[in-house]
Amino acid sequence: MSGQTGVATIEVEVTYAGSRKGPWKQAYEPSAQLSKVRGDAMAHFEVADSTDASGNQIVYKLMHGGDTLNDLTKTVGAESGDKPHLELRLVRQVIAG
Amino acid sequence: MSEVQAELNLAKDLEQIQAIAAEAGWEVSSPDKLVVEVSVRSSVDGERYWLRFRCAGYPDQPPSIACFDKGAGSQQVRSAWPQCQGFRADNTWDLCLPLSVEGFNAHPAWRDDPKVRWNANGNPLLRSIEELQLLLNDATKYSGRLR
Repeated sequence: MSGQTGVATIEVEVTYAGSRKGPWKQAYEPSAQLSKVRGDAMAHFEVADSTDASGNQIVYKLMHGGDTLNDLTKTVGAESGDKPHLELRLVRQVIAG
Repeated sequence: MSEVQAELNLAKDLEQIQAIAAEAGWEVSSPDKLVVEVSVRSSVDGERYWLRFRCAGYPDQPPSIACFDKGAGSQQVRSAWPQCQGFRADNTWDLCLPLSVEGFNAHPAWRDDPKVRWNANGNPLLRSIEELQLLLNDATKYSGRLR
């Protein structure tokens, strides 16, 4: 079952290169969804999804390595692959002119 | 800002980029003190693109960004460019995005828009690379290599 791992909690570390703040860390149960991590990380780094002056949506996404995490219903446990630590990056989706 | 200060600022941020490059799947080199070259692989089709960042005035000024052919060293090679929103091959050979000096010159209003204006906080070069990686991973905005 998705989210079942051998660890009780998984330490998730999120970095955001657009902030002076250093990496943010929080322990989650393996069953926690990535949507929760994204929301918590965005609150920590004080960023929000928004719309620019031209009406384009600006959205923040999570990345793991070189991959974009589009399925935010996926669990932290499934994404970490049974490991007790997960490093993610928060990235703004840039809008072309 | 002096050129030496910009070089020092860039060197510090480059260290952080090199530390995460392997995990992110990037190749990183710096052939000159204010120039950084990074290869980024699209997760859509596995194609890899080399991006050259010219970082005068770093981090206060956005970099000049272009794709280039690693073998020829030239940015005026169509096959070095992706078909992707904001990437302008052929005539201008630049990126029209709120990440590059060319983008901000083409859209002066971006400089005053708090949602997209240049953000010199944190590690702006890393943020730019990550945002370009995200763009190349988006199948709704990227459709393969130019031929």
